[in-house]
Amino acid sequence: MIISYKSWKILFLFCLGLFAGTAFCMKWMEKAFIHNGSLFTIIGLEISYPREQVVSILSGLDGQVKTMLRHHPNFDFVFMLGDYPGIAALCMMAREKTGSNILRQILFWLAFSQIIAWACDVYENGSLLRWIKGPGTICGFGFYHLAVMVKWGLALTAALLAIPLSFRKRRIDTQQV
Amino acid sequence: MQSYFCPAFAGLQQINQNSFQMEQAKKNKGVWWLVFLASTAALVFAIYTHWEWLTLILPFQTTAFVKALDII
Repeated sequence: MIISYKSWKILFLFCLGLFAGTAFCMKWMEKAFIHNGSLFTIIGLEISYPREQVVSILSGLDGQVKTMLRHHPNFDFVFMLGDYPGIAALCMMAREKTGSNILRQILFWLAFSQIIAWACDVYENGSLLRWIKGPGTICGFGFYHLAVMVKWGLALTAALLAIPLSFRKRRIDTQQV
Repeated sequence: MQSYFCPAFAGLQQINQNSFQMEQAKKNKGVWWLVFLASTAALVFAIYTHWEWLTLILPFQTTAFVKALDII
C-alpha cells in the first residue's frame, strides 16, 4: 500500500480541524462540571479519582451538570475521529522523513496501534456513559483504568515521537506519487 | 527457455501472465468491495442501534472503499 506524503498531510489537516473544533467544545463544557461547589475534571474521572469519589460525584450531580457531563463523552466520540487518525497520519508523515529502518518500523506500528488506543477510548467513554446513567452500576474499575493507561500511553508515545520527526526536512528518495 | 526459440510462445506466455495478474487484481477488488459493503451494513446497523463502537467501523469502511476504487 503506497500513499503519498501529500495524502497523509491532507488527512492530518482534516483531522486537526476536527480535533481542534471538538476539543474547544469539550473544554468549554468542562466549566460546568461542579459537584458540591467545587470543580471536577474528566481527567480526574479517567485517572486520578478513586472509585468512591467517582461514585460520589456521579450520584450527586444535579440535572444540568448531568446533561453536560453526558454530552462530553458524546463529543469525545467525534474528537476520536480527529485524534487517532490524525496521530496515525502524523506518524506516517514522520516515517517519510526518516532514514532509519528501525524508526520507520516503529512509526508504522505506532500508527497502526492507534486503532487499539481508539478502541480503549471507546470502551472508556461507553463505561463513563453507563456510569453517568446509573452510578450504582460502577464496576470493572481496574480494567477501565488499564484501558485509559493504554490509550494515553499509545497516543502520547506516537505523538511525542512523530511531532519532532515531522518537523525535519523531507528526504528526497522517499518522495512517492 | 522455450521463449528464446519461439516468439509466439513468449507472446502467449506474456498474455497468460497479464490475464492472471488482471484476474488476481479483480479478485482482490471484489474482496475489498465485499469488506466495504459489510462494514457499511455494520455502520448503518450501529447508527440505528446507537452502538457505542460505531466510529471504530469507519477506518475499516473507508480503507476498504479506497482499496476497492484503487485509490491506494
